[in-house]
Amino acid sequence: MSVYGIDQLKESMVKITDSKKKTIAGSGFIIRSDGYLITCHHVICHLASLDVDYQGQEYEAAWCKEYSNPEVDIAILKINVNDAKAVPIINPHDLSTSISVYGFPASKEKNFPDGFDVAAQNIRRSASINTRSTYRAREISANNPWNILPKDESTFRSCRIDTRVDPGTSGGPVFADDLCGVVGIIQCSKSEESYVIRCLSIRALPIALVK
Amino acid sequence: MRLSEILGPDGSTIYIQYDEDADDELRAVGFVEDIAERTEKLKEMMASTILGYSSIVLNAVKEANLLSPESVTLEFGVQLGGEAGVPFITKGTVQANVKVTVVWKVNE
Repeated sequence: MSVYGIDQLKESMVKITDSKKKTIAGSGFIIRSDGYLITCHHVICHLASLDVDYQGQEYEAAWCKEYSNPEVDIAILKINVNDAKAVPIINPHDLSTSISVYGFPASKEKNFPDGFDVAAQNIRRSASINTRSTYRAREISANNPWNILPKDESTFRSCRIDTRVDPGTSGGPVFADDLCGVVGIIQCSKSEESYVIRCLSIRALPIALVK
Repeated sequence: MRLSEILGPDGSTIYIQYDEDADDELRAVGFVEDIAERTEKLKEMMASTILGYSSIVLNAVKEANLLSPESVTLEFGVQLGGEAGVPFITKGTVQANVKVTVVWKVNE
């Protein structure tokens, strides 16, 4: 019997790139085999184009406005690919598990070109976070439909994990090791803790999108 | 300790070490290459920190009603700390960390 783990998760990882600055913008992961992927809205809201790298291939992604929700920092993109490896998304009542966060922090790119994982012993449900307060203040100069900011009062439902993650990890999956599924999307961090957008926010999207 | 980068006058990268404990602001962890923005912010904050602190000390000298000194020289430490190296005046210990030299011209 095969167990879903970090090696399988790696096959679903997507790197969001800033083609203008030739840097990593953030992380994402495939949620449906026909090319739908998820990342954080703050990863794409300042980008002039949506360029992603999936399994070493570059794609220009489309922003799926009807499934995205900038108010809870969720962006759904689609690339033209068949048979992509989608992650198992779960929304367990009991979160007694250690977790791994997978992403593409720019600081680790040289040594870990296929992504870097960070472990945390605990994850627990936390208070809602004001979405806009975590964004870095910047003006958005591009004029594409996705170049928008969340409203000042918007919040997202979060979980807290007891580790720091580095810039570039945003949009990466938070994988429950014992439950063999993704329970959230990493969003923000400070000295010794990070916060996760609950998968509940994805399930608020049309249910057909998430298997 | 963590490192932040700024640009030197010749375009080279300068690394500033800062205290991670001071990094207590919740930030979205998308990656933004903002080295030019950080450099500009640091320059502005350094200028305002030095000018602000100098003004306070100079005003104190003036209020002491010292007999028209020819010059006043201030010496103090500026330390870079916090996220991305925010400048602040070095904390004093037993001795004051500011040195003020007041010079009078004496007519013989």
